[in-house]
This record gives sequence, C-alpha cells and structure tokens, in this order.
Amino acid sequence: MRLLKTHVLLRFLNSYVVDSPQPANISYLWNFGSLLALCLIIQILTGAFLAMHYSPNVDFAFNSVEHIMRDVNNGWIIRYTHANVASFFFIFVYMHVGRGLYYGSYKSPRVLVWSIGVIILILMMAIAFLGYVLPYGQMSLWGATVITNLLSAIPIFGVDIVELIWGGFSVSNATLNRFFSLHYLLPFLLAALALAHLIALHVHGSNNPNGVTSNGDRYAMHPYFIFKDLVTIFAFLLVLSVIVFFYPNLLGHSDNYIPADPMVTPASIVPEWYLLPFYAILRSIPNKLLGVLAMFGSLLILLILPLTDLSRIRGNQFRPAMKLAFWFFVVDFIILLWIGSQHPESPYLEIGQIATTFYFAWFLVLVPIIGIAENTLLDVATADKTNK
Amino acid sequence: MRPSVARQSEMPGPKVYSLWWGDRTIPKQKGVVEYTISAYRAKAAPHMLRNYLFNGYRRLSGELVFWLIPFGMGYGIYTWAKKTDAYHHSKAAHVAAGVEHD
Repeated sequence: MRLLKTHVLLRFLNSYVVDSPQPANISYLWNFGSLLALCLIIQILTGAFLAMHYSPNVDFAFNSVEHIMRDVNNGWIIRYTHANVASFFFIFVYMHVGRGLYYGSYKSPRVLVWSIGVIILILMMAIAFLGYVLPYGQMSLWGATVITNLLSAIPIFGVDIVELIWGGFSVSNATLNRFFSLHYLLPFLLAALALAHLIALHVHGSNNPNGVTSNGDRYAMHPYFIFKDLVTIFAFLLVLSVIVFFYPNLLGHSDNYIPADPMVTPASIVPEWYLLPFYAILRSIPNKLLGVLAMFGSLLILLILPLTDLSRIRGNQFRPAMKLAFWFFVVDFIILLWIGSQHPESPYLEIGQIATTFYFAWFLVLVPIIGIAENTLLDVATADKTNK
Repeated sequence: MRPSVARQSEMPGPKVYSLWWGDRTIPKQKGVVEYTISAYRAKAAPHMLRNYLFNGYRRLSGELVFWLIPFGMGYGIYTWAKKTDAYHHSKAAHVAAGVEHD
C-alpha cells in the first residue's frame, strides 16, 4: 500500500487505476475506454510477432503472410487476431465516440479530451489503412492506389506529393516498405496520444449520464470499476474468440487473398468496412478536391461540436429532441457505411448525397438549432411571470 | 504507514481528484465525496438478474420510441433502394428506358 502511493512511478498507476474516484452512476457505455486500451495492447503485441515473420517486399509480402498462416507456429491465430481486433478497435471507437456525442462529453471542461480523441481517431484510420496494404493482396494494392491518389486532388503540387509518398510512379516496393515502417511506428504515437487523452481526462474526471457534476457520489476505480471493466473485457474476448476461430474472414474481403497485380483492376475497390462511411462521403461529391475535403472534413467536424452545441444542458438524458436527433445521426452513419459498399449508381448515389448532407447538417444546423430552441423554451418556462 | 498519512497526501481520494504527473500545485477539486464499503462486504454483481434483465428492459424500453422512428426510416430507405436497384437492372426497366436488351 505504501509503495503504491509513494513510489515515483507506481503512484501514477495508483492515481489512475486504483484510487481514482469515478462517478458512481456511469453505465456500461463508459467501458469502451478500457476495451480500446486492451485492443491497442493486443494489436501492438500481435503486430510485433507478425513483424518477426513478415517481409515488406512486393515479391515476398503476400507469400510471407501465407507463410505466417501455414508454417509459423500458431501464426494463423496471431494474424487472424490482429486482423479482427482491428475491426473491434473501430467498433469500440465508434461506440466510444457515440457515447461522447450522446452524453455531451465534448462540452467544456472536456474539450481537450475530445480534441485529442478526434486526433486519435484520425491517426487510427491512417494506421489501419497502412496495415491493410501490408498483405499486398489485390485490395491492398488497389486500395492504396485509390486512397493515395486522393492527394493528387491538391492543386499545383498534388501529383508531386503523391509520387513523394509512393517513392516512385505507382504503389511499389518503396511504398510497401515505408508503409510497413509507418505501420510499426505510428501505433506508439497512438499510445502516447492515448496517454495524453487520459491525462486530459483526469483533470476534470469522467462525464456521467446525468451531465451534472458527480463530485458528490463517487466510487474508487478499484475494485468497483476494475471489476466492471473486466466484465466487458471477458465478453469481448469471448466474442473475439468466436470470430477468430469460426469466422475469421467475416469482415475481410475475399479479393485480398489474390496476390496484388498491377495489371488487373478488381471489379470494385472497397476499403475495409470501418472506412466505408467516409468513403461514401468522398464519392458523394462529384468534384475530386471537394470530395477529399469533405472526407477529411467529416472527421474534423467532430472538433466543432463544443462550439455548435449551444444547449445549456450537457448530454441527451433529459433532451428528447436531441435523443431523436442523435439516433437519426446514428442511422445516417449506418446508411453511409452501407452506401460506401455499393456501386456508385442510382439510387445509391442519391441516397449517399442526401446522407452526406444530413451528416454535415447535423453538426452545423441541427445541433445548434435544437440547443437554441431548448434554451428559449427553458427561458420562457422560468421567466418571471409577475411582470405581466 | 498510518492511514491518515495516505488520506492527507495528494493521492486521489475524497480530498483530491487530479494528479498531474507529480505536479503538486494543481488546484484540488473540492467536495468530492467517495463512498466505499469493505471488500469483504462488497458483492461482485448484486441482483444481477434483476438489474440486467428487468431493470435493463425497463431502461431500454423507455428509449424505444427514439430508436423506432430513425431505424424504421433507415430500414425503409434500405428496402426501397434495394427494390429500385433491382428494377434498374431488370429487363422491364431496360425495355421501359428504350435500351436494347439481348
């Protein structure tokens, strides 16, 4: 006990995961943080072991992955775990962001926590994209070609930037090498940002479903919330095991089991499922540059919420109009995800364009208008009636 | 170590919330009240069935109306799009559009 509280390093552990007082009323929606931390640890560990057998060369990459699958002891478990935890990482991060949106966790004083979180989300997507290129199957090559080509939309020096990233005139050996290098490096930056996310969080502590201060009713992190986090951690490991052992390719694309061939373009080039909503936004806009801007804007717009949410009430617990708006936003996100997987033709194209419009309108129009309407109603209801 | 030493230190607890990586000058939050009972008294998942099933149902069913409208509309859009797309690729649609059909 004494050591945990006084040791120069252990005292941090104590202050974050042992003695830290947490709101008594946080629900299971507050468990995604620990699940995400676990995902990051699993990814770094399995990734390190995969790197021991992987060869980042266009001639060997695909075969080295098959070598891991067939010849390396338990290599298939390591690879399938790495591939599927990437998907769970995104499921959890979307739920985590959704929780933040629903309960107004982005509002002051947690703007810094939210902003670091948005950067983490964007970095995660970059890392996942880099990782998907490494097996060097058909979808790896063509996905990389499409996504890197987006930067060519930048006026004047766009093409130069793309060739700089490629290290050549197409996705080639140099590209694969640097993507591998970055895919190994950036997760550690992600870990550092996650730490910053935690430090920023601990200045004011977690939000809670009621949206008012929870200072008056807190439990210590250990054992109460450590135990509660373990409930979802074991539930996750159970579901992950079922996926890894019985449906390991459920969330993947079969085309990535065909070795990359620059001479054969796949019938449809689709990114991994978790990038589909943003891919749909990209394709909904006919102009290439505007499409690229909209795609990056759809992530960065999360940063504007602390400004556009004008409601005086934090969170949607007591705001029925905003609850409805939130679930419309969730459905809109799912529609975009589905549209991203379809061919860009009528009626999918039009649905994608309407869903994209709604996506941005939600942040810029719906959220502030509902906030203003609620504030006005509140003022009217509490106005001093004696002046009449 | 006497228990009071820990209680009066800057470690998190009822009197202190934040700890900024060794910085002792961070303003302490006041009025943090922390409840706890002996670990020997604590139950891991008390009233699990009642809480998870019945109370869970009560809590979720209250939100039902907020899900039904958006998800209902979403599903409507999905089925309409599927039907329209199937029609677009049918012989009937090609004939109606005046496109030659082999």
